[in-house]
Amino acid sequence: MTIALEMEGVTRRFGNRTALEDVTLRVPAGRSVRLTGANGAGKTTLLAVAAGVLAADSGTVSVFGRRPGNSDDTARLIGYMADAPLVYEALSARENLMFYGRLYGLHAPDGRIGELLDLVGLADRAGDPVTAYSAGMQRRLDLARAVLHEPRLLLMDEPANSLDADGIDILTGLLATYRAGDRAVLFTSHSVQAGDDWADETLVIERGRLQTPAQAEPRGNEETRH
Amino acid sequence: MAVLALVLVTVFGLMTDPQVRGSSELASGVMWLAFVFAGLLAVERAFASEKDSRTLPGLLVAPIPRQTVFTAKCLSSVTLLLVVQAFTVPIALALFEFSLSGPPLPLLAVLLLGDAALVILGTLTSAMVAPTRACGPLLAVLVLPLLIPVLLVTTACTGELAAIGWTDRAGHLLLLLVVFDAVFGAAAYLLFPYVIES
Repeated sequence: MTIALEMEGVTRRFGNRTALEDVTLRVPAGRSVRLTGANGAGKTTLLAVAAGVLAADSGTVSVFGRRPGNSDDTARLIGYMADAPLVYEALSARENLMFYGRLYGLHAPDGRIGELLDLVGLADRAGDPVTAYSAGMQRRLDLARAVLHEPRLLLMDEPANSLDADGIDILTGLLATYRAGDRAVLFTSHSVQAGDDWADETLVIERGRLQTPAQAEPRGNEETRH
Repeated sequence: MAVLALVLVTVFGLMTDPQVRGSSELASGVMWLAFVFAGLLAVERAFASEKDSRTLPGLLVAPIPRQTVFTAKCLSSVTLLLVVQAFTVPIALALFEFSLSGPPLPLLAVLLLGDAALVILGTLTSAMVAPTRACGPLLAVLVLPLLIPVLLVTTACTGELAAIGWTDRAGHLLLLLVVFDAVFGAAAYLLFPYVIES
């Protein structure tokens, strides 16, 4: 079984506050795992460490067997959606995607950009500056940005935030393609109910510690393993 | 930026006693004062788009070394500063009733090396203070003391080159600037990944 994301004994502190404490989890390829917990439990920090945005103070993180931050290839495996859209408000949707396409080394990304803008329903507003977009539109654009380079691991922080029913359908369809293949998804949700249909397994984090076993299992399997 | 530099040069130029206007030291001092404040404005804006749009994690997770982000920010700030200097220097020379002697290439080298030191220190510090509310004043408070040695050298070297031309002293001062840039550049290159992550 290929492990898409493995975190072993990860701890992260901010000054005197421990945001993550001895976190160990494994997300196999072909699975979608939901991470839930109260506000301030450590969900966002966990995703940021997994993505390589933040470094762990101790412990190891590997994505498909590689350490994030050590190579360009590892970064290309990861698609990251933060809690706020990572899009430049002064640029248009197309300009944002072109910028990120170049950052990720995509050759001739126009076709891929057009395809994604159609998918997320922003094709007719692609030339407008993002500052003119609603929150839901910005979230859709961020979704397009996160999958632009066809990553194998999606790390998504509250992906359904600000999305309307159509946006939720788009997100659901996209997650389904990830669960069907050799890719994986780890997403956060502060509600146990939200994203119920998207997840094969739910992990709960509380005060920086995971409260449920590390290994993600298919839904309906009552056995759990560490 | 450009307006600030012009205002500073113009005000000091008009305030200066006409009897001392031809002084190369005075002209170079005022010019570099203007460049420093213009440069601080440039580096303060280095991370403005990432701060305003909260897109810094997008750069951090991208498959590019963090030092590449630093280099790109420095290059953009240096470019802006050079554009400002391109029309500020002639205006300053005119206001201070001063003309250049000697070849312009060494003077250009001083401008480039001095700009590099200013931008390297400023960009690293800007990355540190960008998340704060008072990033502008804080940036000036942190960067200006670090720039004092650089400013002493650039002002002296600019004045020497402008008034006399190429001399051994000017050469030594230029070499000192190269050393400053190398040390600041190496330190910033090593520290930036840790600064930007925090």
